[in-house]
Parts: sequence; C-alpha cells; structure tokens
Amino acid sequence: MTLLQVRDLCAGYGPVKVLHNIDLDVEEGSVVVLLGANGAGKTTTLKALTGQIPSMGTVELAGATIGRSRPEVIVKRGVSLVPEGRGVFSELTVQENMLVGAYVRSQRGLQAELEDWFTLFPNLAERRNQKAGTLSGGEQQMLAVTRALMARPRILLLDEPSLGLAPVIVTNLFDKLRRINVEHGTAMLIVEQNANIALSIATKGYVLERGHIVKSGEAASLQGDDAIRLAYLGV
Amino acid sequence: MSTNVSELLRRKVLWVPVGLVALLALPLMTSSFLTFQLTLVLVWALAALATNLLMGFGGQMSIALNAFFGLGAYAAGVLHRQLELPFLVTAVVAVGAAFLGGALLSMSTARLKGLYLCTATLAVGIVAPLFVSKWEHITGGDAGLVVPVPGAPAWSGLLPDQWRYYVTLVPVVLIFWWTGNLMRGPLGRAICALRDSELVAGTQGVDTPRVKVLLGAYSSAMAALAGALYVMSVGVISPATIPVLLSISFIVASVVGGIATIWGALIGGVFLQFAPRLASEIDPLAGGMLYGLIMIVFILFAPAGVVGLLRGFLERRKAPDPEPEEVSIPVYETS
Amino acid sequence: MELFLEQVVDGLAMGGVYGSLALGMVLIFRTTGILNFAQGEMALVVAFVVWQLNHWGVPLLVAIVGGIVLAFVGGALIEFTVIRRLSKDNEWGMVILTFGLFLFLSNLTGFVWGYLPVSFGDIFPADVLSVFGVSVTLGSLGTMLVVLIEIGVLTFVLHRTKLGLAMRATVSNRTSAGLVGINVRRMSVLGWGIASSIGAIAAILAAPTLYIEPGMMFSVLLYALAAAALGGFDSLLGAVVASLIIGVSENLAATYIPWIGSELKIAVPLAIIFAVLVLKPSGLFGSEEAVRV
Repeated sequence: MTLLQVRDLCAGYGPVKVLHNIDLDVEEGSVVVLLGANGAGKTTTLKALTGQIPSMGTVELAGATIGRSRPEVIVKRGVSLVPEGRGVFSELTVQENMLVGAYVRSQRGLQAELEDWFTLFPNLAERRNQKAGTLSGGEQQMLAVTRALMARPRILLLDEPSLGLAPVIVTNLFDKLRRINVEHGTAMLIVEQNANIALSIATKGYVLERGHIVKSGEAASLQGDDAIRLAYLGV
Repeated sequence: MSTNVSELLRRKVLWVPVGLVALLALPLMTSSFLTFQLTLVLVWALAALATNLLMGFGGQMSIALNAFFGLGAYAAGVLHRQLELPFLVTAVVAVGAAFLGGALLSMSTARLKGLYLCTATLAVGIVAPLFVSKWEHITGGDAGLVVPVPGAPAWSGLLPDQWRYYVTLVPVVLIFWWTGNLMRGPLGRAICALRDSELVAGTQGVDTPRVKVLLGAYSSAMAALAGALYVMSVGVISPATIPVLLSISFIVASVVGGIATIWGALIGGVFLQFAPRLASEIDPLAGGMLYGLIMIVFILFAPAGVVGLLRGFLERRKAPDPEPEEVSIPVYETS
Repeated sequence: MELFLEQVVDGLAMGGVYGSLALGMVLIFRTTGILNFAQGEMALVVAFVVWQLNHWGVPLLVAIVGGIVLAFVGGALIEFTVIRRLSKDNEWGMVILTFGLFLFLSNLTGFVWGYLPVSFGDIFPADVLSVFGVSVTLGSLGTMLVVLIEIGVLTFVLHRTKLGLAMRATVSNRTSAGLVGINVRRMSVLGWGIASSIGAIAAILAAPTLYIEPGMMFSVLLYALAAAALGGFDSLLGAVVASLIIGVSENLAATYIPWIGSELKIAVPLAIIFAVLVLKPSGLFGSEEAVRV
C-alpha cells in the first residue's frame, strides 16, 4: 500500500525553479532512498514535502492531501523530518529534545517511550541531562532521529544523515535505522549523496539530477547499475 | 520615450555635476537663514554617512556616535575658545581624537555583535552627555558652551553664512567622495563581508578585528567632524544637543535615506533638518510620535530608504544594472 | 548602621522593580531572540491607563488587573502586527523597530496625558515594619514578594510545562521547532504578551515611588538592561539577582559616594552594562552559546 504518493511536484526559491515534476512513491514500512549530487534538489524535495517552502503538484499521505499545509500540520499527519545538519535544540537537554519531539501527540506513555529509545541508544541515555549542544556530531544525529521518532510518525524523512560523520558512526546509525524500520514499521525516505550504505537498507531508490528524477528501481538493481555506481557509490 | 528619460535619470554622470552645481550655487541665491539650514543639512548628512558606514555597510549596531559628535563639537569649541586656535586646527585635533576614541571603542567591544554591541554602545551614548554635564569647568556644564563663529574673510566677498556653508561643503563633499571610493575598494568589500557574516569573513582571509577597528575609527572621526562643523556654524553646544537620542536621529536619517548607500545620507541630512520642523508645524506634541512612526513605517515597508525606493522605481523600466558596493537590506518574512 | 541597612532594603525593593522589567526583557529575548527597547514605554502606557481608570473611579486593584490584561493583549498585538513582519534574522531591523516603538509610545503618553506627573497613590498599605531594628515599608516587602512570585511562576512555566518547553525550543532553533510541530508564530505572540504583562507589573510597582510621567520608565529600562546584561541575557534568575545587586549598589553609591550624586547615579548601571559586556558578555549566569549566536 502506498503511504506517500508524490506527483508532479514542482518547487523552488522565488523565481528559481529547482524541482521539475517529481514523482515518488513510498510504500508502507519500506525504506526508499533518494540519490543525488549537490544541488540536485534533494533538500528542496524534503522542504517541499514538509511544507517549509511552497510547492505545486500533489502530495498524498495515505490517500489524504498534505500538499500545501503548514509544517505543524504535516507533522501532526505523521511526517517527521530529520533535517540536514541535525538541527538539535542546543540549549535544551537531550531528554528535553526528545520530549519536545513528542509535542504533537498525546503525552501518555511518554516516559516509557523515552526509556525504550534510551535502551536503543545508550550513548544518549548517558547524556540525558546534558545540553544537546555539547554532544558529538554522531550523537546529535542519533538525537535528531529519536526526536523525530518521538512524534510516532508514519514516515520518517532524513536529509543526508551521514553528512560529516565518521564511517564507523554512519554504519552504526544506519544499522539503528534498519532496526527501527523493522521493529516499528516506520517507513523512511532517506536523502543521500554518497548512498552506498543507504541503499543497503533500502527497498527502492530514485536518482535526482538537476531537479528531475532520472532513474528509479529496486535498491539491488541500482546498486548493480554501473552508471549509478560510478556516479554515486564511488566505485 | 520614458525609457530614455529614466535611462538618463539613472546615470550618475548626469546627477553628479548637476548636484554639485546646485550645491555650489544655492547659498548665493537664497536667504541667510536658508543657507544656515543648508549648512546644517550638510552636517547631518555627514553624520548620517558615518552611520551608514558603520551600520549599513559594516553591520555594526553601534549607537554611540552621539558621543563622538559631541567630542568633535566640544573639542573644536573648547580649543577654539580657550586657546584661540583657528577652527581648522581644532577640527583636525577633534577628528584625530575621535579616530583614536572610535578605534578604542571598537577594540574593547570587538567580541560583541548584534544586540550585545548595541547595548554596550547605548551605555556609552547615554553616559557621554552626563560626563559633559559634570565637567563644568571645561565644558560649561548644562548651560552649554558658546563659541564665537568665524566671519567671512574679506577676500572672499561672501556673507558669513555663505562662507561657513562653503567651508562646510568642501570637507563634506570630499568625505562623501572618499567614502564612495573606499566602498568600491578592497576595504569596502571587507566591510560588507563583515556585515554579511562575521564568521564567514574570518575564514575568507578578511582580517576581521582590523576591519572592525578601522570601521569604528573612521565613522567616529566622521561624526566628530560633523560635530566640529556643527559648532562652527551654530556657535553653541550643550549636553542637551547630544543625548543618545541624537544617535537614534542619525539612524532614522540613515534609514529614511537608505542605510547602505552613500547618497542616502544626503537625503537623510535633508530629512533630519526639515522633518522635525514640519512635524511640529503639524502638531507640536505629535511631532515626536510622527518621528517614531516614520522609523517604523520605513523599516517595515521601505527598508532600503528613499534611495531604495527610487532605484526600485527606475529599475522597473529597464534591465537591472549591477551596483556592487551598494547593497539593499535583508529579508522579509512575508507569511 | 541603620542607614546602611535601610538603604540596602530600599535598594532591594527598587531592585525588585528593575527585576520585574528585566524579567520581561529576558523573556522576550529567550522566546523571540529580540531585545525590546520599547519594553519600558509599553509598561508606561499601561501605568497611565491604570491611573486613568482609577481616576475615573475604578477601584485600584481592579484597574491594576485590567492593566495587566491590557498589557498582555497589547504586547501580543504589537508582535502580531508589527514585529512579525520582519524576518527574525534581521537583527538591526528589529533594533530600529523597537527604537521606533520607543519613540512613538514615549511621545504618545505625553500627547495623551500631558507632562505633569500623576499618581494613583500606594498599592500596599503604608505601614512600616521593624525587622531586626531596621524599618522596612510594607511596600518594599510587597514589591519583593510580587517579584518572587513572578520568578516562581515563570520558571515553573518555562521549565516544567509543555508550553514552556515549546517556547524555549522556539528560541533555540526556530526552524526545528516548526519541524516538531510547534506553531512558532504563536510562541512569539505569547512570549510578547507575557513579557508585556510582567513589564506592566514593574511600572505599576514603581508608580508610587517614581510618579507616573513620560520618561519615568526610561531609567528603569536602563537599569533593567544593566540587570539583564549582568545576569546574562538568557537567564531569568540571573536577571533578578543582578537587579537586586544593581538596586542595592545604586542606592549605596548615591548615598556614600558624594561625587556621583543624583545626576551621575544613572551612570552606575551604564558602567556596569559596558564593563560586563566587554569583560564577560555572557554575564554572571548566562550561557556562552547565547552570545555566540
């Protein structure tokens, strides 16, 4: 069942059009990767999907239009974004960051959920009362992910989660993402530049070039595609 | 047909000589009082230019220029009166002192940005007239200082007001020209880079502390010169003339003219001289309210000032012409 | 010795007044990232309204409550109509805007109510208590109590409620706040409403001592700024502690250092502002991050 359906999405900044008629599908519980080089329009796509910039075209979540809603509304509908550069609340503690992630939903059972996430991310548990600004890049990324997940989204959008992180950390991060996808059934749309590891946990992938989807297919076939490998997988 | 006219209007080549001729000829054609007012327009224009340089181009939110204006006025006035030195000498001393003072202030506040800098300089701006009041034996305290104004030398054949106007005009025009040159050169670019992001400027090899200090020194010196020229024409200065409100008046003038422009300062000068009068003529009490309202309206709807409005108007008739040294001001949240 | 202690107590009471205004300024700074130079004048308008209502026969306490409500609405309205139109990144635009507001409101009060001082009398009964041999007015005690309550309520709301968390998150990272579903515009409006109410309380508390007139709040504003700077612009507790320090030292300086006297008295908080900002911009209790941003 298609959870997120995007058709003819066009978006840009002022007079500059960045996205041209993007079509995307994300099935329930699947992980989809959006590949693209710098400037291809990956972040723009996510901004358009989360209502941060105006867009044209249709965006449907489980059949209901979310196209031109404000960010707050889109979060309530079940779309959570882990932004580029983490975007943690530096002055708030780790715990507070996670608590505020649950802003849009019922506050019952919050504490129990917090503990669940702390079990999955022991690093964060250790630092629960520390200010988020003092965490390392990798820890902030984990925090941003858990914060987004606290909203119990139906789909999680991630903008270049591996950016600036050491390979070991990236492996760990994506392992956690895979586990979350399997255990909670959360669908994911991951935007990445160098997406070797993203494709390894994905079902499907799209390639974005200068605002156009130029290729799509099963993750495995994309990984095997020579042109893709050369351009994006650094092989 | 209209395109040709606006083409012409846009060309600096047309405006500059026309402007200069007008500036030179005006006092010969008008009354003594108007000449006096025009002299003050030049004084305020210079002060507004100092503000433009510091805040508009450099992005430094400093409201202490009233202190330097006062420094210039009092230094020039006191030295002229007590030591009977000619104004030229006292002005130079005043400007030099302000240059150092401005550099010092910039150095001590180098770490501060934005609101923090604003608050720190606000403190300086408020304290300055207080200290002037206190040092009565030098400054004449609250009663103020009366300074004999120079008359016109015989060889010029001019009336005193006219002479003082030209004596003011020369340095002001020179400084406007110099500032324009400055902003077109490497230091000017560094100043703009400073405004855009202090962090980025640091990494691009721009020497941020040095630029800040120079910026502070130059703008303070300009404000002091304005002060010296003021006291030369008006003949009296008191703490009541230089409250921190004066700094804010300079900012209003800058915003109305166009804060990140050179020519906007001239418009600002006109505004500062004539607007308060007009406002009180409408209603003496409502004058102050109007002032505040103008500030608000301009910031919200015409942040690039009159110059910005003019440019926008003229550009709608023709393809845009890049003017790298004069940038108009940032961003609106429109939703 | 008694004189000293009395000056200290008076200083504490005055410090409480500054603290109330400083709290409002720090609140606006923490929830919207703006320093509101018009804070004092906004409070002054409310003080005048309270006096006016009382003058027309409304009982003082009712007028005060009405004033506080008016302050909330007024502050929210100003944010909604004027402040909101500027991008939050446009710092100097914001400064100029609040300066413009300051000029406008300051002259407005003179325009509407004239320049003669008025007063609605005392809020607290005029009794004087003797505490450890020192005379303390009920007014001073009352002021300090009110400020304590303010701090308590604010701290509770900011640190122990979902709303407070949302407000702090909004100022920490506005974009991310939107991403977790916080209506950031509503936070700004609320922040201004609450801060204006607190500021109004400061003016009302100060009115019996300072007399209500245009310009009354200007010195209070400077003191509040000094307190906010000294305490650290993003620390509520710091603002109050600093206010008390400033209130006491101002009084002592004016009494024991004759050279300062009443004209230069105001130089004391200004010198403090400058010294703190140059030497330790984050103040006594503030965080380094707030300065670096």
